[in-house]
Order: sequence, then structure tokens, then C-alpha cells
Amino acid sequence: MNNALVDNSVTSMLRMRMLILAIIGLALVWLGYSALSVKPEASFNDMIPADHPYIENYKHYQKDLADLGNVVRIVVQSKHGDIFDEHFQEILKQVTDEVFYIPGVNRDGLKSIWTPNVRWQEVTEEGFVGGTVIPDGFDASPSMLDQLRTNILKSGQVGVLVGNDMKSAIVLAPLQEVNPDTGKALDYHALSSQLEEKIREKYEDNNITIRILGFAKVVGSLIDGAVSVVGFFALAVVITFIMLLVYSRCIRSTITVLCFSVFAVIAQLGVLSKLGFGINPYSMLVPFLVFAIGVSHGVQIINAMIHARQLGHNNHQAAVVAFSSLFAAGITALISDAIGFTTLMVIDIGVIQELAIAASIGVAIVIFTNLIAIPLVMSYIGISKRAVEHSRKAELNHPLLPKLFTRFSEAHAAKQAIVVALALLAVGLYGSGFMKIGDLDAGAPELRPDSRYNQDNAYVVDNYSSSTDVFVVMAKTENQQCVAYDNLTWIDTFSWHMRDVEGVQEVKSVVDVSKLGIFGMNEGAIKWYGLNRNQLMTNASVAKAPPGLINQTCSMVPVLIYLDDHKATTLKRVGAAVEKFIADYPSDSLTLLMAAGNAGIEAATNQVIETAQLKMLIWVYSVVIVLCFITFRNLRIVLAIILPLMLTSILSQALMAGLDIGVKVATLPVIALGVGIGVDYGIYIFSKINEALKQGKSLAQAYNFALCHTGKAVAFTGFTLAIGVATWVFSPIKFQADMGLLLTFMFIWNMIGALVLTPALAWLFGLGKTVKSEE
Amino acid sequence: MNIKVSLFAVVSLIASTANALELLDLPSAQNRQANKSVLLAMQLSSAGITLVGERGHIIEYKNQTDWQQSQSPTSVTLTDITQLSDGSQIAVGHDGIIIRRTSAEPTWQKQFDGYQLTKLNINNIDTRIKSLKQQLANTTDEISQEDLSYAIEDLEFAREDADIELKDGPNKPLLSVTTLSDDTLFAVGAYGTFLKSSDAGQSWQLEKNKLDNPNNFHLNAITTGRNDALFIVGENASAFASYDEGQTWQTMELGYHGSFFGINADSQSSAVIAYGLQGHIAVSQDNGHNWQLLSQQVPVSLLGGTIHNGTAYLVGQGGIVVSLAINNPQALNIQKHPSGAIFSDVIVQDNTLLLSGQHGLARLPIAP
Repeated sequence: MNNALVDNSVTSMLRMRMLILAIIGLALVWLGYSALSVKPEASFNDMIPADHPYIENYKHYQKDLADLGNVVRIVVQSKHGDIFDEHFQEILKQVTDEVFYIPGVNRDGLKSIWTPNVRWQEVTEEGFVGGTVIPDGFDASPSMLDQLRTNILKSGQVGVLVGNDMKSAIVLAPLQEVNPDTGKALDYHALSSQLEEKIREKYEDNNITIRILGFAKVVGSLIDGAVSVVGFFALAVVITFIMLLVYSRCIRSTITVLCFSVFAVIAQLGVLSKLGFGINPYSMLVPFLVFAIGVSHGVQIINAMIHARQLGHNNHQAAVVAFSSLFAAGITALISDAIGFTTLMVIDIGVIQELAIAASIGVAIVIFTNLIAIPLVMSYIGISKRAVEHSRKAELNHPLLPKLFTRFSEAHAAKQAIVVALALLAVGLYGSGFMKIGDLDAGAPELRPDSRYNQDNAYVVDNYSSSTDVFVVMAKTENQQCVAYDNLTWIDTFSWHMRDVEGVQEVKSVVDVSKLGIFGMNEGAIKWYGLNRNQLMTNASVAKAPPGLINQTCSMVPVLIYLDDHKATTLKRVGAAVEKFIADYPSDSLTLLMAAGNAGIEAATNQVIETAQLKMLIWVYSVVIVLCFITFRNLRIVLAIILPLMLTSILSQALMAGLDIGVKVATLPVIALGVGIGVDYGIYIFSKINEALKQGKSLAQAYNFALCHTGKAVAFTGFTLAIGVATWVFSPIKFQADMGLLLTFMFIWNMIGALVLTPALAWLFGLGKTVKSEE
Repeated sequence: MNIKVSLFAVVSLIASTANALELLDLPSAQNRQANKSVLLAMQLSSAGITLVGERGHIIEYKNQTDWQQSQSPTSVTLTDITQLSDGSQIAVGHDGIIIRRTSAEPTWQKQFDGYQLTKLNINNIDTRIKSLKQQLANTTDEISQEDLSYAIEDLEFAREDADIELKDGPNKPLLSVTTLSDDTLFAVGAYGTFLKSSDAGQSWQLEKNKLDNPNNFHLNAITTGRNDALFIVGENASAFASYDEGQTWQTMELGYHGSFFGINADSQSSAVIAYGLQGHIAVSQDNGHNWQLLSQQVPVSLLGGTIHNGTAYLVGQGGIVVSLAINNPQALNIQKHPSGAIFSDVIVQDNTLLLSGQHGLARLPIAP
């Protein structure tokens, strides 16, 4: 950046400092007001890749599939006995009634053994007979309970609505995405709270356990968990305050930096609210980052002012020096952060894009609140004398950083550093080969494995027949042709093809209903089990098909593939098997479309993430490289800054593999964030090295100069950023903990890389020599 | 030349438009879950147990756990299996399929299917129409004339149905197969289908005219009793016996108007047991001449059975297993297999009941 331009703008800003501060102040008040209305949210649609063909197919049939997708399962479990007990049945009845009245529940589809749409059936001399599962005039007498047991067995609901061990029963409530009365979208958080209050709290007692499962409950838990993260923010602020104070020994500047960093967060939330975004469990990370970035840039300014004061400048002059010496580097660093985050927009997943927008906005705000406002404010209030004294003493007595790190710009230590870096690179490359795509844990992977939700989920997986991981393939036909014999044989052949795939437990579709119906119509003689070419018989066999297995126009049949788990390898295998069937058995009348169900959607997400990972890395590195090049106009400097970042990226991939953290919606942005912020260290250090080199100093001297001026601030920044995100490790939300862990790792390693590897690479590329010879 | 070309054109037209899977001729695919499929009947052999079931699955258990899937030429449901004196095996199933495996030809081969059955039925109908029309021409009695006209009309409707079947493909399952000591084979099935083979299952003749089954009720089961007596039971109390190796048949009266799904004869005595809808059981102690209907004690339909050392074991819906002493049939012992699966066949091996049905093969120790 042109020095004269920087100096000019700095001078004019200082001249108008009153006006600028007033404008920034007013803007903060205005944005702070709208920040009050920002709400936590979690939307299903934002977590999935909207333009992926799987999702487009799913969206196209979303209404037809409603019954399969968005349901809440409430398990009423008897702690001591079984379900054949008066108290248990009374509770089950009350829960069924209560759920009926919870807003958002599709009442027609509500099912439990107490609802009239769940029936038993048998074949007699007169044909089919049947009835409701609960006998008429049920009074919980031993004979009635016996009758109930018989009816349940005949109803085929064991493993579906009644546990295999007869110790629990399920109330199944399909949800309506849109409230038909108000036209408003379903409020998952409210629904989740109602389920807690009206069901779990009300009916759990010494004999009854209530377990609640479903996407709505996951979202509820996510929002609750995300809110608890607010406490971590307070913790991060307190720790940062102490660190700043210890570092600067100046309460005035400490409070100034903290206040403006918090202002930046508030303003960022205000802008989000103005743009109509809420804050979701993913973008929850952004305020922490904005705060940490704000603090780190504030520290650079305070640091520069202390140095200026040591040289004898007064407070106003010191502010001017700090402002003008850091403005270019600061702007470059922040813009590269912001653009680095923006590259996340290439990923077609709503929450990641929201995170990108939120982070870019936050960083842009930091330019005003911290890079501009802090030096202006400091020009008024100044640095305390004590701080200047402390810094002078510290530098005289313990020039710790220069002593430790200067050597890395000299041959001996530089060689060692490069050898170690190469060794780490080898380890990292080897380790990152084991990195996996997608979620690796069972249940709701967003939450911790030992969370209440995942315990409930494990109970259902253990005690009911169907897996909770469902991959749905939609078989599309002409209108009214969905149960044509030729189409059913195709679907049946497909079903068996899928049953052969490792990881597939069971495959269900209207084909099974037809086979059961055909032997049912033939007096229950199971030898009739099979599809029948007699279309009249086939039509009759599916007449009683449960809703959701055929769509209204009979042009689509969902095939439900129940899986062992939703690991990426399983999902990939299933997807590949479907593709293979489509290739091996081409049909004129039937098209198999992937994919719905939680596993189908996750498969789409994994595919997007797998391709996005490389794309995102290329984008973020390209942007950072271009920006560094514009700033330094020297390819070797750019390499000295970028190569350590790449090493960190590779090492963090290896770390993910080692800790069994998959590449997923939550962890994908972390590498971009790490690179975007990590580049700051290198930029600050090199702006000082460059300054010294231009004065004709050797590389070692230049690096020593940089360490004296900015090294402490860089180290400090590394730790501030790390602390800001490290508190996340304790989040009740699994992916937030993963994000916190990885970011902490990246911030620390990037700092070490900048202090050790950047000078070593500068030595390797012969930076000092050439600059000298050029002059 | 012209004929050849046009024939080729027709064939290729069918191949391109009729883009459908013909399950009858689609070889059954190997499947890691085939042992859990619906397996309907089983046969003890020297090599182990052979089970047949849905999707043309043929599963062989060498011991309790190790199984393998035999190559099967079809993907339609197989419903029953039997064995000839030389160890050859015959299985029957849906859409009229009959397949066979012999020592000379150890992979299963299709011998017969519903397309042939439809043609046999059409020939049979045409012959009967022709003969009825002749009778009509020769008779002067008005009442006989009217009866004959109705009978001809019925047959003409049946002929129309058969024509549709010829076009759309067969849909009549064969449900049961049995052999005589001279390896003559009999198979029964839906809508009164009754077939016989005198060449070890290679070719089959339609024998339905030998049974008095004017309503074409389903014939659910056929079994061979003492001295090569043959018994058939079916829909709506249909029951037939033959004591001359299937030459002539007589109707049996079992004392219940509903359907029977199975019948078994004791090899050591003259006891025969038939069972069916709603748990009805009928027992004969004199090779099927006289029958006694037991009081109804079983709440669900019974679908398969066997007699072993004087005890009959009957299985059916809801995992039910009924055992009774064949010579003292009043005291029934009723058990339920914990799976609650529907079973359709049972055999005794090493004091254990082997049960085949809804979820494949299951085991139940025999209560002492």
C-alpha cells in the first residue's frame, strides 16, 4: 500500500477524530439496539446443501414423504414392570391425548396403541376381522390386559409402536412444517420446550421414563446448548481482560481494547439482525472470533503506542505513530480475514454461508471499532506511565522473545526448523490420509454421545426393530402406475439388491405391503407370499397401505433402506449400490431417485463437503496469496508466510483423523477460518522485517527488530485467539467442541509457525541478501 | 426370408417395449440376507437341510449356523420341495414354476412354468367345451340342455381368463408337491391346479378333471400316506383322497366348512391329520376314510406340520407350535416361538423342531 496515501488518510482521520468517533458511536448505539432482537435459531433447511440433486429430489416429494421424515417419537417406558399395567396404560393414554393438542403435531397421523388408526387384524372363515388395539371397555382387569396382549401381537406393532421387550410403547407424532392456521413455519424450539414441559416433566415418575426423539428435539437441544455457550463468552472476556492487564499493565488501554472488541461483537450481531439472520449453533462461533480478532488488533496498536512512548513521543504523537505504522498491515490482515471467510460462500450449505457472512461482517466492523477507533480514543486518553515503564524494564531485563526466536533467521536453527517442519509435514500428510468425511458417531452426531438425546436414541435402537438411520430412494412412475406389477417386481428386485449391501439392515416399501396383502387375502396362507401378476389382486393388496408408502397420484413409491449407521463409508456404499442397480437394470417405466431420509440427506451433505473441501482450500489460499502479494510484492515473502499456514492446515487434518473428528458442516469452515486469521501473524511480522530490511539490516537484525516491536503482540494474539475458542471445548454440543479444539490448535500452531518457520523460510529463500544487493 | 425378417422385427419390438423383469426367468441373486427371507418349506437330505422361499431362494444349512445359497434359475416364490428315491429334488412355486436338481445335473433347472400351465388349461377347456357341445347336440332333455349351456358358458368365461393370462403372464401359484414310492410326482396349486409327472419331474400333465372341484377352489396341500395313498386339502373344506396312485379320487368330509392349509400322514400307522383356518384340526385313524374334528383350541391358523414318532407337530401364525399324540389327539400342547413369526413348515431333527417361515429358519427344542 502506498505510504503517502496511508499517511495522508491517517492524518486526516486524526484531524477529524471527534467527528469519526461520534459517527462510530452513533452507529454502535443504533446497531446495539437491533442486536437486542437477534434470536437463536436452527433450521433444518439451512443445514443441508439446497442445490444438491438428492435434496432437489427430496424437496420435490417433501409433502409425500412428510410421514416418513419429520416425526417426533415419544417413548413411554416402564422402569420396573412391563406395559401390561394399569398405571402404565393410563400414562400412555394421557401422553397420547396431550401430544394431540401440542401445536405443530399432525393430528391425523398421530399414532399409539391408544389411537383408533392402529388396529389388529386376522383372517377368519368370514374374511378379515379386526379392531382397535385397546379392547372396548378397557378397564385394566387381568382379562382385558390379556386381550390387549393378544391384540398387540396381532397388530404387528411389536418393534414398531411397542418395544420388543414389551417394556415400552411409542407415541408417534408426525409434524407439520407449516402451521395450516397461521401459515407460519414450525417453531422447533417452542415445540421442543412444550414436549419437555407438557410431557417429560409432567409424566416422568418413579415408574415411568419418558424418552423423546426426533429432529425437533435435536434442534431444541442444539438451541439450548448454544445458549449455554453465551456463558463461555463471558469467561473468554474475563480471561482476556486478565491477560491484557498482565501484558500491558495499563488499565485504561485494557478497558479500551476490551470495550471496543465487545462493541464489535454487538455491532456484528446488530448487522445480522438488520439482515434478517438469527444466530445458529454454527455461527455462534463468530462473536468469539470477532472478539478475539478485535483484541489482537487492539493489542498491536497498544503495543506500538508503548514503543512510541518509550522513544519519547507524547500520547497523541504515539497514537499517530501507532496508527500510521499499523494501518496498512492491519487493513491487509483484516481484509484478508474477511475475504478468507467470504470464500466459504462457495459451499452450498446455508449455515456455512451464514457463518461466512457473519464472520466477514464482523471483521469489517473490527476495522472501524478497533483499527480506527482505538488509536483515536487512545490519542485522547493515552498510555499510563506505568505501562511504559513496565515495558521498558521488561525489554531490558528479559528480551525473551527476541532471545528465543531470532536464531531461526540464522543458518543453524533455520535448518533445524526446516528439517523438523519437513518431518511434521510427513507425519501430517500420513495422518491426514485417514481423515474421514461425515459424522462418525451414532445417534444425533450434533450432540455428545452421552447426551440425554443420544441415550434415548440408543434405547430405541436397542429395543425397537427399525434403525433410526434411513436412506430413502424414491421410485418414480407414470401417474397411477406405482403399483403396476411390472413396477413392483422392479422395486422388489431393487430391494433385494440393496439388502445384499453391507450396512443395510432392512428394506421396506409398498412391495412388502402387497406381498403381505396377497397372502392375507388368501386366508393368511403364507405360501401366497409374493407379488402377483393379477393386477386386480395386487391393487386390492395395497388398498390398506399405510399413508406415506404411496403418494397421492400413485406416481412415486418411497423405498426405505434401514442402515446400521450413518458413517460416510456406509452412505457411500449405499449410494454406489443404488447407482449400480440403475445401470444394471434400466427401466422404461420406473426412475429411481436418491435420496431422502436422514441418511439420504447426510449422504448429499457428505458429497458436497467432500468436493467443497478442496475447492474451499484452493479459494482461501488463492485469496490469501494474492493479498500477501499485493502487500509485499515479493513472491518469496509470500511463500515464507503461506507455507507455515499450509503445514498447520495439514497437521490439523491429521489431528482430525487422530481424534476421529470427521469433515462435516461444522468442521469444514474451521480450516478456512484458521488460514484466514493465521495469516495475520505473518503479515504483522513481515511488515516489520521488511521495514528493517529496507533500512539495510541483515535478516537476523531485521527479524530481531520485528520481534522486539511486534513479536510480543503476535504471541499474545495467538493466546488470546486460542483462549477465545478453547472454552468451546466444554460446549454441550459436540460439533462446537470439535470446532473449538481445532481452532485452538490452529491458532497456536499458526503462531508458532509464524515465529519459527517464517524466519527460517526467509533465510532459506535468501531474503535479507537479495534485498541488500538490490539496494 | 421375409418371414424371418418380420419375426425378428416382432421379437425385437417386444424386447424394447416390454422392458419388464420376468421374475420367472430371472436367476435368483446371491444375497447375504437370503437366510432371513421368507422360507416356506424344507427338506432333509444327506447333505443337510434344503429350504426354499421367496425370490427363488434355495438355502442349504450344513449345520446349525453355516448356510449357503444354491444357484436358482428363478426369482419367483418357491413354496414346496420334495425328494425322489435317487436323491433328486423337485421344488414348485409361484407362476406355476417347477424346478429340479439331479445328481447328473447338480444345478437347479427349470422344468415347467405357468406359461405351459396356461396352455394346458386352454387345451383342457377347449376339449371340454367341444365335448359338452357334442353332448348338447345329442341331448333333447330341456333341463340337461340348460345345464349344458350354463356349463359351456362357464368354460367360455374361463377360456377368456386364460387368454388374458396368456397375454399378461401366469399368476397361479403351485402350493405343494409330493411323490409316490415309484417316483411319480403330483403337484397342486391355486384355482384347482393339479399336475402329475411320470418322468421324475421333466414333463407334467394336467389332472384337474380327475377331482370333483367345479368351483376351482385352491388346493393347498398334497401328501402321500401309507400304501401310497394320496390326500389333498384346500379352500372351503375341499378334501380328496386316492387309493390307486392317483388314478381315481374321492371326496373326503372332514367336518369343517372352512379352508384346510395342510395335511400329513403317519408313515407308521394309518393316522392322517389335516389342519387349517382358525386352528381347526381334523384327525383320521383309518387312512382318511373317517374323520374326527377336534374341538377348537388353537386361536390362529395352522399352516404346516409333520408327524414324528407318533407325535404331530403343527405350526402356523404368531409363532404357534402345537403338538399332539396322533393316536390320542384330544390333549393339545400349545407353545409359542418367541419370534412370533409365521411358520409354514416344520421338521424334527435331533430332538429339535426346525421351523421355517417368515424370517427364515428357527429352532425350538422339543419339550420332554
